[in-house]
Amino acid sequence: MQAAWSAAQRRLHWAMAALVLVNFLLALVMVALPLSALLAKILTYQLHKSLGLLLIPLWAWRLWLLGQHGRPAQPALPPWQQGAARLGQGALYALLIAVPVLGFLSAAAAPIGVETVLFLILPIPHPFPPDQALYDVLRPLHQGAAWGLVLLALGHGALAIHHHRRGLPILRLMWRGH
Amino acid sequence: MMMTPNQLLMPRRALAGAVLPLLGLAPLPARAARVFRFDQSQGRLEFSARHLMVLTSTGQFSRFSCELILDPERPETARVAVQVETGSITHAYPGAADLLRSAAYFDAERWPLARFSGNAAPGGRVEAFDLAGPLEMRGVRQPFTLQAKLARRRRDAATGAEIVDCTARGEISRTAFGMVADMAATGDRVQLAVSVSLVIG
Repeated sequence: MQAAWSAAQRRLHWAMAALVLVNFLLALVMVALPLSALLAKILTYQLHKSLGLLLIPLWAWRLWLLGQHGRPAQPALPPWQQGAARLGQGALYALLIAVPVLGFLSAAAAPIGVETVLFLILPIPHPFPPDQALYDVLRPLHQGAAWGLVLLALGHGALAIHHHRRGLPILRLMWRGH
Repeated sequence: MMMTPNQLLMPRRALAGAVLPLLGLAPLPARAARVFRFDQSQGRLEFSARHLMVLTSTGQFSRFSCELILDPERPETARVAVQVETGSITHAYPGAADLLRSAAYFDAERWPLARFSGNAAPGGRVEAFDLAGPLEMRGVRQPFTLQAKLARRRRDAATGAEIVDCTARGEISRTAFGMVADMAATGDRVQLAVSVSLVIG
């Protein structure tokens, strides 16, 4: 067990948090934009898909770093809070990969059949052709998982601030590394 | 030496006689041109446009009628007449069909029909021939060409009927028909594609 989070772990944590938040807001905007703002709508959809796809390698990198460096010792918390924290962090990790994967699969299944082109440069092949029935399952799953991820992340952040106010170094360890 | 029209046709007929069996299309007797009438229940009429030069979206017309006069042995004599209800657009993206029916695009309320009538262009082959003629849409007439193809003859498993699958593709400039909206998002070239299974026996 290491004494502190490595710099790479901390940067990845905050980068992914920012990506999730920005992409969630982007999703709300892209859905709400009218078709009369066609250019903005297409651009926001493609940016949403591109940022979402970025999360997948970042998640794998983060998991690899966790395996390599481990995590710092938990500050003194009651056992039930430590258990709840582990459960919450496990759910966050699971949703961090489930949301972009479900999003990509629902883009593939979408009947409109629009390609996924990473930052409008790199085409990402879809694994299957458009399929309305599959889309009707995947789309709400992606949406529900995304709401779950954001709510859980907000709760995670709120608890970190709560512990910080009580003098526990959880937030400081992730922010400054010591 | 002058040749009669029939003599001029002979080499092409001989070629057709050699090529048709390869396609599974047995040569038919002379003057075997047939009239095929079909609509959305037998065929499909799609259009697709490019967005930002890298993305494609596709829509359909759910009501159209087509009359194709075709002698599979002599595609150079083919003729086609197509009528499309512009208000019958369907599109998978919610709201897109309404946008495309609006005055900015097909203006379906004012111009409810689009029409194309084409004759086969010289030099066609059985497996690929052009149909060229005027396309009228939004009150504008423009020359248009469909590249048609006849696939292998096959027997429909459900009905037992002999079928030849026919596909045709063409490209229009939407601005030539006055559709100038959203040029930053959607390209000028729009692909049209027709596919139908012709029952020949």
